[in-house]
Amino acid sequence: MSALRGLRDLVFVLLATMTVLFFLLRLTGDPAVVLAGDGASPAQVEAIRAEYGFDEPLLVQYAVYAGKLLTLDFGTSLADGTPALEKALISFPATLFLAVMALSVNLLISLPAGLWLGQARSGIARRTVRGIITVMQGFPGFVIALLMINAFAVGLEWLPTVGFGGPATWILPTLSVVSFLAPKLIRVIEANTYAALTSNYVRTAKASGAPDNVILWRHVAPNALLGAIALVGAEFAFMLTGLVVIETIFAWPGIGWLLVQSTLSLDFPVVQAVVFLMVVGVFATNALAEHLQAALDPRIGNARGAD
Amino acid sequence: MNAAATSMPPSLAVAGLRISAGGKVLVPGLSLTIGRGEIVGMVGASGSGKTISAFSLARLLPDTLTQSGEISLEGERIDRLSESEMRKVRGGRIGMVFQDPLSSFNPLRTVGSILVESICRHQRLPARQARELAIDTLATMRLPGRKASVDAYPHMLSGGQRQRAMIGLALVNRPALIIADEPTTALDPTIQLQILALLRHQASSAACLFITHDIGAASAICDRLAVMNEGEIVEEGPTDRLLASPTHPFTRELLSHAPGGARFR
Amino acid sequence: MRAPRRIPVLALVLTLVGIACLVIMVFGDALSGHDHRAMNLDRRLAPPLTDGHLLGTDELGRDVLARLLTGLRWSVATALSATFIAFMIGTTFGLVAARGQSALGGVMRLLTTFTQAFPPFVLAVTVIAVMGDAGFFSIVLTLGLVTWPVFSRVVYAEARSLFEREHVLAAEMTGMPAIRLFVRHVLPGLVPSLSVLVVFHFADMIVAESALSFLGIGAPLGAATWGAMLSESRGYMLSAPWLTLSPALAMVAIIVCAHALGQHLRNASR
Repeated sequence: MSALRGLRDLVFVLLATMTVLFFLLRLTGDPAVVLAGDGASPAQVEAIRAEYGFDEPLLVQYAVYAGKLLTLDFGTSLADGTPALEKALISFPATLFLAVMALSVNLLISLPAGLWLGQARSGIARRTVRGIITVMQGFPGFVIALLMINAFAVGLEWLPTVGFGGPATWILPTLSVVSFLAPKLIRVIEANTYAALTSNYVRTAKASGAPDNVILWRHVAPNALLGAIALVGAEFAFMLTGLVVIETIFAWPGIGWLLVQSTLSLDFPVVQAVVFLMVVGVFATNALAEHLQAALDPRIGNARGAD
Repeated sequence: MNAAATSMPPSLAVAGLRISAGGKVLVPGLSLTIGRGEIVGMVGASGSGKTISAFSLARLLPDTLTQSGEISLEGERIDRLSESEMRKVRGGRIGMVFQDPLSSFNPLRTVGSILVESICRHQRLPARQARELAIDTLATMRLPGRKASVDAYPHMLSGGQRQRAMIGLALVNRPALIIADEPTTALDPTIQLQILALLRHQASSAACLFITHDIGAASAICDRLAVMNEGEIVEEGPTDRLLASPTHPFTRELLSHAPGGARFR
Repeated sequence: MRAPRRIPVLALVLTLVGIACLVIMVFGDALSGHDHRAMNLDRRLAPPLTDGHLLGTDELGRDVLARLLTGLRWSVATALSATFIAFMIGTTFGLVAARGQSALGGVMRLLTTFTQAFPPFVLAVTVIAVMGDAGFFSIVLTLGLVTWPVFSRVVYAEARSLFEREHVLAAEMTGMPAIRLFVRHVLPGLVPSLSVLVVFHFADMIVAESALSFLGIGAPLGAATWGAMLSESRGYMLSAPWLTLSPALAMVAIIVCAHALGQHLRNASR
């Protein structure tokens, strides 16, 4: 039931996205001119236009495009002639890899930090950490990336600046991503922890003599973390699409980087394939997060079963 | 009952209980005794200090409130106990029933697992026996389906069933004192009666402090009533006497405002 | 208890920042005493506080402070305009959907699904890049057009619950016209969450615009935007760190202030 609905939504979103993208790209740029290259004569441009079918009416082009989309045929890259989807698929693992690393580090930092902060409102240590988090929230990810490159790669020469080759090159991109994802997650876990600690069920646990560690780990933490799953999912989905600038800065060969490269060179088939892949990735992530939450939260599981 | 009460110390004896928030005194000096098997109703308007007084007996006040005064449980001064010794008292020798049974159960845990956690902590039983005891206890509380209710999550039960489970949790370790804080306020009137009857029946061997603003509910099950106003007990006495001839003006006012004062009788 | 002592400080700081922004918006690079376009190849990469260059000069000898102020003008103007467009479209659509029949509600749900799966920034990057030398209006329009569902989502949810409140139902039953119903009973209820949303959206738009111009997408080539300044500074990180730090810190300062204001509004509305 819900799987079917998810599939229907996915088809709808893909259709809508690809349609919007098609018309935006066709209306704002002329691929024939790009393909012909600089210094091509008007006749050459016309020839290319006819060859690729760009001279047909826009709706006819759209019909052809939509038909090919059904068979996952995005055409070939205007730049080098390789299949567009293949080009996008090759770049996907790098993005996924960065996203998984960032997610792991983010959880490693945010879970303990959020649980710790949520246990008290006052105290110098907690206030300091909260202040740091507030300031961190003001740093856009790519600014952090630049500042870290400045400090660790250029200044101290500890780490390589850019590229994708071995653990040393993974550190700065991962930290850049984590630096702007973690504050949000820490805040949510902190708020959830505080809410759980002041909840009636924790009062019940105290009234039946539970010691602090049992209260924290068996009552507070599960509730606080469950409430953060949606955000973790959203953050992961965001990483599959939103690392455009960070990937560009670090020359990280993922789909964000590919998107910028292909957009700047007006390589429409690749742009379309990349966006297609992003939408599928985001959808899969959201579905996964939703199912994880349903599996872990008995209240949702029951509601589902009753449907 | 009175003979038994004189031969051994009362289940609960409170003397000079004082609770304050910062500089503000909320309860200036409360004294109260509850005998074995006795149900005492603490009645008063909201904000009269009855709930914080009750919570202070198990030392469950939030950090912003401070308490002092003598609290004796079966003759033992529990106000002198350390925090870790106090944890053995809570849930073991003092059982508590709260107002809102839905939010008072961890939504991610089965009702049975909450009982088992408490049984294992206080009775040092192996898990399997603890589970048997939890099943028996819930059955005694007349929850339907022996095995089904022990594995039920709180949201699957009705309000009345949740409150029965809560009473089961309070009683499972055979406490000397039961503190019930507005246990029926959140429930339908018809279910209120069943819960009160259950409490009365099950609590027969323990002392019970019943906190309520509803003098009608209190009179239904209490042996004695203590009327509280602004942190002080203004009148105390056997339920029948107090209802028939209240002496303090506040008691009279409370009685006159009671919705169908004697509906439980 | 502590709150009354802390709020004035925050309010004071935010007011001062607001006034400073306003002054800069009006006077721009004139405040620095330099033209942000004036190159001086004899005085390239001068460190801060040399020869009247408060924040030094860049690789073409242009005054960093002048460029920073011009960049602020650009950033604030684009972010404000984009926020305004997103606000107008999003609020209108959210209200109409909340009020309208179930078909619009269905559209709303699909739109939510759509925007959840398709991040606006990617759309903006693609569209603006394809447009080539986009300029102010294209950027503002694109950012506004791709981000308005942020507003419609919140307005839709809140307006629906507002419409179900008793006094609104009562007003409706007495035959109050729809427009007056909106203005008198629904809009006031939306003000707290909308004001918070506007402030946070403004901060997001500052980041989005800077990211675009950092990528070399959007702002005209050679324009003094913070994103472009950051991008250009990359070759001089070691020799002239002020080129990176000035726009970075300016951007962070404005975002932190916006977040503080948003947080304050959020707390105040609770």
